[in-house]
Amino acid sequence: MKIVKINALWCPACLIMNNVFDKIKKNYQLDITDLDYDFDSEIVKDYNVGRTLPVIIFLDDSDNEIMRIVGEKKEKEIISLLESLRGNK
Amino acid sequence: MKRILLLILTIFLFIPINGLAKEKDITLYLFSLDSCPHCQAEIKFLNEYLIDKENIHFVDYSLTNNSENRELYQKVQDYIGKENSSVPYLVIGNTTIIGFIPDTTEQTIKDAINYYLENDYCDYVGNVSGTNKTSCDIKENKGTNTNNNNYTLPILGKINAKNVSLPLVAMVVGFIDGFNPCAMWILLFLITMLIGTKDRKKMWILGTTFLLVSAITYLAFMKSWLNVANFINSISYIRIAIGLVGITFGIINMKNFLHKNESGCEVVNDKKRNKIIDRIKKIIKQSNFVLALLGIALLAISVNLIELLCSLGLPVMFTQILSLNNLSKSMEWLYLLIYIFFFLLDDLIIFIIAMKTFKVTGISTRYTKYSHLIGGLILILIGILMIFKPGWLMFNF
Repeated sequence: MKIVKINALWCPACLIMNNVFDKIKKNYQLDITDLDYDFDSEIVKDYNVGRTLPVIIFLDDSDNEIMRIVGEKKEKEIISLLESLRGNK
Repeated sequence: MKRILLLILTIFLFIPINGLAKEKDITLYLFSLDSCPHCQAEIKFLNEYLIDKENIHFVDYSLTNNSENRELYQKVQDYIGKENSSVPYLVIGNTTIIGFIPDTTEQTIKDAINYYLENDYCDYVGNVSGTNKTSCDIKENKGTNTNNNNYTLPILGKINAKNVSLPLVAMVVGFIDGFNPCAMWILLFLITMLIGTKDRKKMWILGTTFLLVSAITYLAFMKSWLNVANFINSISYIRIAIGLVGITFGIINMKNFLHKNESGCEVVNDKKRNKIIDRIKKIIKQSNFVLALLGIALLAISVNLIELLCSLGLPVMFTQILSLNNLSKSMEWLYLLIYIFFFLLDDLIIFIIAMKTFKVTGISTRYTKYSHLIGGLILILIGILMIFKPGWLMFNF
């Protein structure tokens, strides 16, 4: 499973989520790609991101989107999501 | 003959000397506002209490829509030397009694009157206004000098309620206003770019300049609005209109809170944002330090003028409260500075942490969301009070 995180340097919620993922990474092996909404706009366009950041997209091994979450979430919510996605594999 | 004379002398011995001597005239001067309920209570008390006391006079100087009375109020305070811009403000001799609490203040006023009936009295206010030609020397105040805003609390001791209320309002409203996302995003971007330079000196100087100029811009706006408010606030229909504006902004804030489902950052106006981002990048890359400083200062001014439109409600309503309280210039500046400090507090914390750790932290957007709720409620409450109970915003007890 791959994770694409679409952030922005000016977005406080993105900074919070970066910290959340930094903590989660200590216990989980994650393949994360960080994209910046402003500086990677050409790539970000392909993901049809709405007007709220951050957007965290979960992809399968064939790069198909499994699900996405938008906005700030708690660490527990992310862990629970990861566990359920791993369980469904 | 001798017996008749003795009888007349005996009769005179039984007549109280006071009854023969003319009671001295004492004048009580009250400075009040028409919209102040405590003032109206005091006027009612004085009219009733003094109804049969021919030698005690009462003059009410209303400060509402009366610049002459306001001027006299200031002159009296300068003359007596006790500056306290509160109403009701009662002067007897050189004794000042500020505020009105039934029973307590009533007794204080009676005590002051009795004091001056038995001791030296000079009409200080008459001296200032020109109605009393006799010069009064400012002596040590021998009468009571009472500020009825004082309360005794455990541990803390004597507290002046007005001294606590206004600073508290400044802190709370300033702090809530500080959760405005409009300029926060620029600060975060700026800090990230500054960290990227790895130049500590540049980071501190440019970052501090941005925050300082932001503070000055916001302060300048609030002072200007306060000057306007001081001028127009005495006109009741303008006060009511501003109250309605406050309620409107409050409702908009509440709507933002209710409709925002996600706690995230809203992407708005890509074109404008990219323009600002390019501007910041140019400033950071600028080799000439003075030009970089100027660029940052201009950025801070333009950004904060935009931010004012984002959160116009709270600073405007706060300046209205200051205006209603008839403060001295120095106190106005003090409360504005308190507001600005708490307004910038979250920015200061983020900046200092970033400078120390080389890492940018964000404040959860949940707090921003709830600040819309609290800010909205505050605006609606202040708006309603401005329309129906402006006296409650005067923090007079």
